[in-house]
Amino acid sequence: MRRCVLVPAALALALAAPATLAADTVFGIRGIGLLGRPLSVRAASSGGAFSLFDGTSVLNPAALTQFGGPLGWAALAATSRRFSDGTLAASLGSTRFPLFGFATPIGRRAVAGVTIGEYLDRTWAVQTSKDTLLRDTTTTMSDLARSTGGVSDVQLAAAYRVNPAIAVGVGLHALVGSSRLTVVRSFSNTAFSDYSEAATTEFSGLGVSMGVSARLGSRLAAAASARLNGSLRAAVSGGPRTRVAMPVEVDGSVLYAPSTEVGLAAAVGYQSWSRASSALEAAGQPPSRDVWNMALGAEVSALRWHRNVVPVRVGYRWRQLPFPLAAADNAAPLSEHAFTAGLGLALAGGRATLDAGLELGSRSAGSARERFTTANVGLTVRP
Amino acid sequence: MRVRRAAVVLALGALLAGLACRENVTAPGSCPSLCPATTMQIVDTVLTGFVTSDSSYRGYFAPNEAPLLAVADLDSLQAIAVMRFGARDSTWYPATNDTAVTVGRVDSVRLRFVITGRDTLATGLRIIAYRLPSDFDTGITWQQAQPYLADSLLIDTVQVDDTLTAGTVSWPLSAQGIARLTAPDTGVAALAFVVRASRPTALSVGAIGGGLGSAYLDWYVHAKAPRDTLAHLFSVGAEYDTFLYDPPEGDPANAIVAGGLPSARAILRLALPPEVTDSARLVRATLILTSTAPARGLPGEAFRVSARGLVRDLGPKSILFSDTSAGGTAPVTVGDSGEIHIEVGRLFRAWGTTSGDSLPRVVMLLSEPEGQSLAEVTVGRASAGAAAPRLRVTYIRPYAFGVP
Repeated sequence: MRRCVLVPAALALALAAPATLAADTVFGIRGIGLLGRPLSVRAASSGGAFSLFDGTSVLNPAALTQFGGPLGWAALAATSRRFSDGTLAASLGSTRFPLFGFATPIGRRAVAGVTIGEYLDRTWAVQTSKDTLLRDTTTTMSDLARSTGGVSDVQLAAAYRVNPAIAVGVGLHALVGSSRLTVVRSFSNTAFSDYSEAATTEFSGLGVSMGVSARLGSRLAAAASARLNGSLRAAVSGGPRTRVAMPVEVDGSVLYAPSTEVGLAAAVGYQSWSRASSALEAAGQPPSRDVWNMALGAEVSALRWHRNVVPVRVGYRWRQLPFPLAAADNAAPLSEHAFTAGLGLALAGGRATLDAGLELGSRSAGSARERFTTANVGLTVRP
Repeated sequence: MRVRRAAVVLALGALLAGLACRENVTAPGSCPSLCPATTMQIVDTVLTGFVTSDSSYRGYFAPNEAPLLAVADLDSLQAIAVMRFGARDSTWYPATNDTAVTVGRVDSVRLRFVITGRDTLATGLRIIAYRLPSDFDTGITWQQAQPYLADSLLIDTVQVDDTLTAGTVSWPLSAQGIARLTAPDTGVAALAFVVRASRPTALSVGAIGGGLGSAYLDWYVHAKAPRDTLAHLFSVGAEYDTFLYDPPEGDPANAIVAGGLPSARAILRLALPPEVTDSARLVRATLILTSTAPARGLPGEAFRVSARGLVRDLGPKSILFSDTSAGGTAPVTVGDSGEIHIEVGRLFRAWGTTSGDSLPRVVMLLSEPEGQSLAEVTVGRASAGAAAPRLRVTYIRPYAFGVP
């Protein structure tokens, strides 16, 4: 009975994903959006350092081999942000569902899975106002530009355990999504009517990823993945269209377990986003750059609660973001870092896991800065 | 144990719900670094030569349909009110179970009417009532009425108290007036009102159907003997009233007219550039009309000039757009001259919608409320050079949605 309830619930959450995948930051206004982090709450709580070993994250398809039975998972992230730039400041907040997935073993050595994750976030809104002399009267014009939507990464992945120490995987990626940009101008003088116009941009693209994970002895493991993306097609409804070259992505990670209760991991990644520069410059934006990311994390399973192991996770992550802000004199690069922590709770006799995590961080470019606190909650169900 | 575990899960859920309930993604724009690459460009310009043809038509409302009767002896406007009362009954029933009694004698007659507006600076206001033929034609003109404004046909002169600015006047007619009041054999009275005061003035009197009260003749009578102790009051209202004025309506050659009585409407047929009828981008449109003469009407009278859209352009019989909000009005006071600015943005935006695209690009000018007063404006037409209609429009240039 319980299984019958949990499985449809997980599927329902997964089907709802495309409408709700959004990270929501004003920094998404630049380039083609803010890069998503489609990580499970378990991986995110340790800074993302374990993500290449985590089958519920998207980065490494080979990690799917860790599952011995079917399971589904979903993540929710509620973020509170404080944006500031000189004298400008605002308190913002939003909720998103950055990841959904389902996997099932096929035979004894293979596992197949599907995940829907956040790839690019294009949800943001900015408001400005200025006084202007209109019909011999000073009138305040308030402009609002609001973008909603983003690009989701739908991955069909398969993994195969070559031997007890080595697993390989491959994933096919479809980048799909849209964003709707609405511009509104309102006037302090009610004799002037509000102006509003909107356009929807559709995105589509393909990619392929490959991954491997290997156990190097009893205490050491390593994993790596690479992803090749085709061009992202962007088309404004009834307007211009373009193709943006997408990056090659390479990630690597090592995991060291000094004991059965402690795991330490480090990860590094590289994305060749400079390939997108020509399309961005053609649109009048600053060129993008190749970016690196890095994560350090630990998971300790010494804590027990009601005879269940409660893993405690901590981590730190740092990443560069590829799309700089367009400053008056030069482009200001954008980077982000965060401290993370979290824990996991086994539920329903081990058939479900509730992971919770907290992330404190900031992203900045030039004088613009955004501090954020994100509460992550993930549910994994093993029917 | 289960209770404690459930409590932990619930606490986590509550914490998450508290965070998740917040949804605000709007940040203050820090331009140009954190603003859209494309900015909105506003344009404010004055268009001329957009009127392809124009015309004025009169006769939508006649003076006898107006809720008031104008009476004036101004240099700019001479007006008299004319009215015809019904015949007074010759018998009445003192009680429901009584027999009819016949009128024996008329004791007195009071002329009662309602002043709805007057020039308070004019003192010694007098309404002079003359007898008209009881069968005067409803098409009677100012010139045709002049012979009846003679001393030989004078009924009475009603003195209006200087303190009365508006309200009912009830004046007892003189014996001579009563004797002259009705036409022989018909018992029908018809009157013409002329105004005089310490200075040229004008006033308005309530008319039939105007809701403010029309004119009445109150007949105080006694029965014929032997029941001549019985008295009765017959109140006979006006059955027809109108007013006549001089100079009569006549539209100047180089102008178009809106308002007045008989009421006039003016049609402007327009050829507009696309940016003006783009429903999304037009933020304001003002039709600027230039008066070629001061607004006419009763002194101090305030009214509005309305610009309305049409459902069908059938010339003088055009069908007005039913939504009065899709148009604009401008206030005018009699005597005003200069420019009249009417906001027509809502109408133009309606033209830019899918449902409004088939509507004729025509604006009809009329007074508001229409047919209620003498007030009218005369404005320059398309061929009037500097006095021709102009259109001041403010719009946003098409936003350049770019990719990616």
